[in-house]
Amino acid sequence: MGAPAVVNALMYSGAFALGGVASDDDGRVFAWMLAGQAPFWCAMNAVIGPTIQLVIDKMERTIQDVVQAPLDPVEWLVAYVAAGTTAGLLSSLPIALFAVVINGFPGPAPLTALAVLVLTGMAFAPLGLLLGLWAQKWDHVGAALGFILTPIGFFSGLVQPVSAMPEPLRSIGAFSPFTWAIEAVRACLVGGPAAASVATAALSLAGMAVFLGFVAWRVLVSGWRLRT
Amino acid sequence: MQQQQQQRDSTTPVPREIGPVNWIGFGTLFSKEVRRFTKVYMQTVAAPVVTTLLFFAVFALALGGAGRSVGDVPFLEFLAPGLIIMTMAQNAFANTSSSIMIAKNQGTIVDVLMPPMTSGELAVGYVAAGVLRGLVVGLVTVFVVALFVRIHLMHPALILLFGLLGTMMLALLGIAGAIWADKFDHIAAVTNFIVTPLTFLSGTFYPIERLPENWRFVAHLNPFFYMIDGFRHGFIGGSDAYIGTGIAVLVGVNTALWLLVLRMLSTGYKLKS
Repeated sequence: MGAPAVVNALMYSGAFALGGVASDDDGRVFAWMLAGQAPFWCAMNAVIGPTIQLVIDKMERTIQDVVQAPLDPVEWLVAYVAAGTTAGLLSSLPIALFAVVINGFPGPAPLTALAVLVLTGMAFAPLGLLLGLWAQKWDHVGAALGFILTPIGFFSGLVQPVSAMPEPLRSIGAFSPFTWAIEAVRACLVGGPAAASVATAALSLAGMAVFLGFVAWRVLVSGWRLRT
Repeated sequence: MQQQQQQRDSTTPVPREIGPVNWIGFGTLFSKEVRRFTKVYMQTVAAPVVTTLLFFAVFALALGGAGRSVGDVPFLEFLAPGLIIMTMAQNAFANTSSSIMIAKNQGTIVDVLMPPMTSGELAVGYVAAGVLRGLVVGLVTVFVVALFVRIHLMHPALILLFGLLGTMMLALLGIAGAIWADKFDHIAAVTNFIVTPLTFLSGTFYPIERLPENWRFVAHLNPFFYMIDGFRHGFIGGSDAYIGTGIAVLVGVNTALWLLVLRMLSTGYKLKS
């Protein structure tokens, strides 16, 4: 999970830096792109981790092993969110390290960047849990990731600051959780502008984690698509 | 007694005569491989087209590609053919590699190996379906991209030639990779660490002259670069390398891969052991 994310991040950053700007002799644009890729892959893998596990369990009918275990829905929720967050961190930390090594170690605020990455994982993992509960086949997972999450992520400051994007992308991007994570982590790793302050972004991600965590907990309590 | 013998003779199956080519076997394998990807067209055709459009949109909207140019060619017109052949190549590889990998994993590969088919018939069956998927995805992508950017067809024959050679190369690579792979992790590594980066970083998004000199030299050793460069030449009429060199490189690589795949299938390498 970590290695493919690093390769993808390097690949996207290289392609966007080489194809998108006039020149990047000192590698600053590449590092800037890479710093944004870290929270993007953290979020994506935090979603993918719980989703894949749940869909495989449902398709192979091993979900009953989890449903029958003496676990409270809160314990379920915490376990899936922790696993998703770990998956997100394992894939994003090497990318973040690459970015700060290229741009200048250790970057403006590496510990804050780490905290925002943890919050990113915690905010997106419940979404992965909900997606895994909803999806009944791989087509559903593919559609949600390929047609919804990836496009939103790409237009949320991944290749260009949201403030520099044309309308209506600028206004829409400001409300994207990907934007909060990408611009905050990037500002902490390599500097540069962010649409909102790092504190605002961190609070927004924490709010998303609490809200989606609550929704996921309610869905787990109801047994929707698990016990039917 | 004689009547009983005559009755038995008329009902006893006789061995099927197979000519120089087992057309029924080949047709069945090809049909199975085509049905595999048409049945899940959302994953195999729609998803790659959306991904291509996403990259196109990123460059057009977020990276200001609409206002730039590569030489005399508007950047988006330069970008479109690169994205199209990248998608075609990745899908040709995915078709053959996933089919063989799943068959090996589920033990159904015996259904393909047991019929009286030569390694050539097997290889052509898989490659033809992989090439077809690449061409279908490419054709759909051309029509969709044409809604947003002007598509030139300067040399249609070259588009077809490089499209065929490119998808054939990747389809063959998919067969070789899947036969070699012992588990899904192995083929995922080939996809993630070799095929995707090479299709991505061989001039899809930028002219190769933008690379530092050493990397430019490395790019000229890369067959994926010639595939993208030649395909793009067919659309916009300009290329980084001499087209004859590109054709020669791709024919050479395809020949080597055919020999490798035929050898793997005829010896049963990691298939019959």
